[in-house]
Amino acid sequence: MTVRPLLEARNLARHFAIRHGNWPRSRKALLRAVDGISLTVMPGRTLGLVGESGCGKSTTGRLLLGLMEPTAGTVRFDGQPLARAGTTEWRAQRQLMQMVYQDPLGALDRRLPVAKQIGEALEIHHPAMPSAEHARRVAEVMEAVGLQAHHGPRYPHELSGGQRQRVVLARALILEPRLLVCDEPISALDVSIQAQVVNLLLDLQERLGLAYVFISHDLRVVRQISHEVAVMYLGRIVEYGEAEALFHAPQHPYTRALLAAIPTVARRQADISLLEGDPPDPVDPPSGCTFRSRCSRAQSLCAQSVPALKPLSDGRHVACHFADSNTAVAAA
Amino acid sequence: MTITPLVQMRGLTVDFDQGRHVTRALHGIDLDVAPGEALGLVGESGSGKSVTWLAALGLLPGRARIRGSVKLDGMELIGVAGRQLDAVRGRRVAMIFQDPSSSLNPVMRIGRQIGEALRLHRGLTGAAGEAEAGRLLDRVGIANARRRLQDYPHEMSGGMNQRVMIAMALAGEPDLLIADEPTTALDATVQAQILRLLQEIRRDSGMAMVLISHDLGVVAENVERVCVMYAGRLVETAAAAHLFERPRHPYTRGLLAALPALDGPRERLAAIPGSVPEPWNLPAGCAFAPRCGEAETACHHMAPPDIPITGHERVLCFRPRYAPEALVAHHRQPQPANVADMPVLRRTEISA
Repeated sequence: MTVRPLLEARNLARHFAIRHGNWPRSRKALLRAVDGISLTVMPGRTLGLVGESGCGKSTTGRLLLGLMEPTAGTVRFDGQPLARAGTTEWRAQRQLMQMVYQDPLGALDRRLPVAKQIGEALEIHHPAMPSAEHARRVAEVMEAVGLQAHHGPRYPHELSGGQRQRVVLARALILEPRLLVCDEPISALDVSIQAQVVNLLLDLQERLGLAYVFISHDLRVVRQISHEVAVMYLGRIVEYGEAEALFHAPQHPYTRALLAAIPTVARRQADISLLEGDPPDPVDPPSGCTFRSRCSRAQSLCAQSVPALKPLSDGRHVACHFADSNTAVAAA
Repeated sequence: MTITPLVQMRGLTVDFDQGRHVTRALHGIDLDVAPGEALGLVGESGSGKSVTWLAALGLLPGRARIRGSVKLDGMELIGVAGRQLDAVRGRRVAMIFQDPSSSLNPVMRIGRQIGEALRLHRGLTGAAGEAEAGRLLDRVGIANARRRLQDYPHEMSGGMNQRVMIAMALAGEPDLLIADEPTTALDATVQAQILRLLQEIRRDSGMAMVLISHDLGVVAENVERVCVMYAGRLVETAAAAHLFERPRHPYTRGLLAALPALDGPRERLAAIPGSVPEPWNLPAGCAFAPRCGEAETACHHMAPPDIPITGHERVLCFRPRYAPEALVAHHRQPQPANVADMPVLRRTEISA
């Protein structure tokens, strides 16, 4: 194990000072969108980040890329801390880490042909590059994502949803990054197209040795693509570990509920236990374990102290006071 | 087996007049919904699953030209005046949509919004209306229902708003609820709650439901019969158990293979190549043929036969699987009458 982590986040937090409630009774409050999380992404591997809306997964993605200043904590990319914005080191680092967004039409410029958009990053980072070389690199990356040359002069609205997402991917890949943070990259696509893009991401990883942080609420897709998975709830990681083990035997009650809630074709009408209610208000979360208000196994200890993310015997980390007895229940 | 269908659709077509040309969005839909039945409608965006029901209820804009017949308990809905449809819409047939917060009026307390539906459909006003609104809100699982009647939509979560929409839909005590992607905008745990609520209501009231969804998992767990739509046509209709175990149409098989599994070994997904054709640029013959791994010459030139397998199951394909061979061979014979029933309108023909 001498491989150095590509991306390492330690105790990362991002709080927002907001006004909460309706005028004139609003008051100042602190929204802890991300509240002390630690993650590691190895080169060429995929970390899946899952959770419901508002759990802080997208904010985490932005913090990991340095697109947002953390309130506390550090991010190291390839052993180096993230450079300050605007510096030379920052420009060098930015080339190696890229973002892919959910809505390709919103992420693309509607008034530029797609080939121009794909090549734009090259103009910024390599202004001296000869135009023949520039054109060759654009053609190469378009081929890599399965776009044909005749797509180049077209505008985003002239392409299908799947093709647009390929354009977004090509644009992210042209600088030959080592890390892609994909924020719900396939949620806006049709079912038959989702599988195409998932396969493409897997192929690109194998060919180029890319690492992904794959943010999604769709656990089926996360299982398909991830090596490790982190489950987030209200700004914290509640379970973190090797994907196969986590999906096969989820330990945290929340992970278990998330998996049970997925409708599947195979298991029809099964008797599943559902979570009650909605996620609590993130501005005013329950004391102790923030999941306790929806947890069927909550006890008085859960209201008193915040459970730490503790390692289990299989190397997985779980933030639950009763993680060990959960194992016993699962085994019984 | 001669239950009178609650809804009987025959040859329903929808053309959108776009000034320079006309685009056909629905190519003749034949569909029955039995009383109390839960029917699923699956398809990708643009396949026509929402348009089918918007057309049936006269909710499409004026530039849509609707032909064919939709009968509710024998009463024709196509081509009748809006006033007559008002007796049906919201009362006999209710509809809920994907995004509850944009379906609700943001500046009106939810109690008044439910009360409005009760007044229109059941003539309940005043204290009786308020009591019924509270009962409905309680029925859809909102705690402290009487107090929450005073809330505005923004004071509630997305899941709660969808419950309010369901309460409003139930206000007219409908015979049929059209749920158009009711949980797509919701989180997984909340989605499961809403789907369970719809099941309970259906069980208690005997109401029929059409569940429109792009998610095969959602449909598999919640309905008895499934229709698969592709490019404005029903390509397969079958009992849910049959459809998922023995999918007859290649498109259905493709959709199922493209779904990642939650257990078992991880395998590469079998993606359907290409993308859905644009409605103004449909291929000749079967619309799915260019993406189909099993297409033969006929598929590219001729409209596929609509093969009835049993009374309630059909498949629109030259080469369906899990279908009696004699039946397929019989329907593969050229049937000019059938082809004439399914005109393929091409943009070039119209603009010429």
